[in-house]
Amino acid sequence: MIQEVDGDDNGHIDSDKVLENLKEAFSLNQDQFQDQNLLWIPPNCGSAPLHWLLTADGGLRRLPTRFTLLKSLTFHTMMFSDVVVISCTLLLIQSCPNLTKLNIRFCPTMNTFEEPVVNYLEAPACMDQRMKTGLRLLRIDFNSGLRSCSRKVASSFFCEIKFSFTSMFRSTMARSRFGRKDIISDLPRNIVESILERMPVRDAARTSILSSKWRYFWTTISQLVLDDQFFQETVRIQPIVQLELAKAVEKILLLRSGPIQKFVLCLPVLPFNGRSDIDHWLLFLSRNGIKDFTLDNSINTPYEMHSCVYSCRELTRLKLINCIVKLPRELSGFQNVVELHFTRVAFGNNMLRTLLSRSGLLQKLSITVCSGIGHLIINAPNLRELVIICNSETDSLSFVNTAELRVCMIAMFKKTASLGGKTPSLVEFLAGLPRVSDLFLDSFFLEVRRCLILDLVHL
Amino acid sequence: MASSIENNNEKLTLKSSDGEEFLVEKHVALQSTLLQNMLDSDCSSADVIPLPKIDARTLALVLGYCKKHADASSSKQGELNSFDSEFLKDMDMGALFNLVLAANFMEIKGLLDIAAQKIADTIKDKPHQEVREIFHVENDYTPEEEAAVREENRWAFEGFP
Repeated sequence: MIQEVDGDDNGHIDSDKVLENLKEAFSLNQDQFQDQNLLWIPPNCGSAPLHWLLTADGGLRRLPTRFTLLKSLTFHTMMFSDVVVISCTLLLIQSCPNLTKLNIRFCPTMNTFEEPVVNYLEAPACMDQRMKTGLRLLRIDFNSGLRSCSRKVASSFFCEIKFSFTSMFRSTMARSRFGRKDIISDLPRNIVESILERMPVRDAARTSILSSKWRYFWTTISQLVLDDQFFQETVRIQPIVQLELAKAVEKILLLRSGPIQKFVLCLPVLPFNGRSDIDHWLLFLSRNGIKDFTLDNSINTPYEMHSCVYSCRELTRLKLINCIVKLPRELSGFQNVVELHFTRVAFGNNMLRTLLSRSGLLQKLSITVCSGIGHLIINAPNLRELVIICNSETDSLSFVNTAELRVCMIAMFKKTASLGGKTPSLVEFLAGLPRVSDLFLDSFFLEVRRCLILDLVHL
Repeated sequence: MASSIENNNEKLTLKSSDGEEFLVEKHVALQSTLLQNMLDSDCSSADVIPLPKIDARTLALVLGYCKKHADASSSKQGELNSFDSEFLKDMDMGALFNLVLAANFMEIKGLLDIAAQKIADTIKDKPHQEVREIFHVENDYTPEEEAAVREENRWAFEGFP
């Protein structure tokens, strides 16, 4: 228990006893306290022990002793939210006549009552009497900013003054009504999820340590982005064997509760050939209502998609990079797909055509540097955006029912063998795009139907 | 009362939890899905719409956001983006939380998005002790439990104290 310490009538007090009390008040360990040169006040020490420093009516009690040996004083993550903390801070600063370093770091997000502290430090009386002789470094970090601070005041007394303002506090926001209440754990779940989805998965997972309430919050987020950053960090931090990396992903998936709506997987730049791992993850996703799936396999040899993807009924958006897509035994999904993006995808026998024929709701389609396209018939009544660039092995290209197309980009970027078969003439082609607002064609595409350009003239 | 002075279809009156009334143009109010639904379902705009969960200061901020977004034409997306990033810049956590709750209640997606992003940015890259302090989250784990949680998500804690 903390005892009250009062000086006798002559102001003389037992300084050992004071130190003893302070030690208890600030939960300092023996080592820290023996080295009086450094008294560090742990953040969040709470107001209860500090009461010891105040008189019954809340006024500032005179600190009965001076900390003459104290050279460096740091206040960390300070939240000057009540008079107790402020008084205590000032009292301590006052009581350290030989300070050479004073660090005050305000809590980055709670704008509270820093002003009395700063004003006090600016007051000539304070500087003259107590500190001008010794204090060499005053560092005040206003992470959250303060409206103004006259820097000139202290400058004559200190060799080095650091004021860091990351932002200036201009507005006249009233003070938080939350005080010291837990302001985040009781937010509606959808807001918490929304917050967690807006940070990297690793940071979201680390919120599990905050409190028992938070332990599984992060497992319900419905969007998982395991991108370059995720893999690089995980790899950098632990010289990881491939197994560990796969394990991390598996842990994330296994801990999941609720559907995973969005999953982005950018396979890392490392000798990662755990194809069966990826197969397992895809299988897991396909059974958990995946809606939006991206697999970026740019840097490895092509990955042959597990056929379970073609049976995802909820799938609305699919983006594949450097994969092999072959006709599966069973194709029961894709009817809800609205967006398809294929880059460097090798299609098996007429696979693209089959997929497109199932995707009646398709609104966006891009096919870039793909192969095995074969006879491509774009029959998509809802299609808004179409990009077909630089593909090989295209036998023919025709448009049926593309009346809604707004953005159309078709480029070969190289001479190809003629698009034969059912490829329409340019006139037919343009006639099929009544609403197009953005059209991009290259000369190679036009060249194929050079003789047909003349048709235009006669329109 | 404001609503009786200009009682036409183009404006409606919102009342904050602390009783302050705000006269709002209809197209501004439509930024809120909640208000939109109320108007669609034939809520007379002459009535005062009470918003019992939102105090006047927060409501003023919310309406400022809505007005900016309602008035800006779609061609000024860049201007809106810089407005958004300035809007929350110096806000303290208490005001920000009031705002995120209000945006959630009034169903203003854009505002909810930027406020959630701001909170997310505050949390990420910080040691959990600091996050606990900022938001006053009380650690109710025993040391054993804390170790178990760490182990459960070991991949996420590597490299963090």
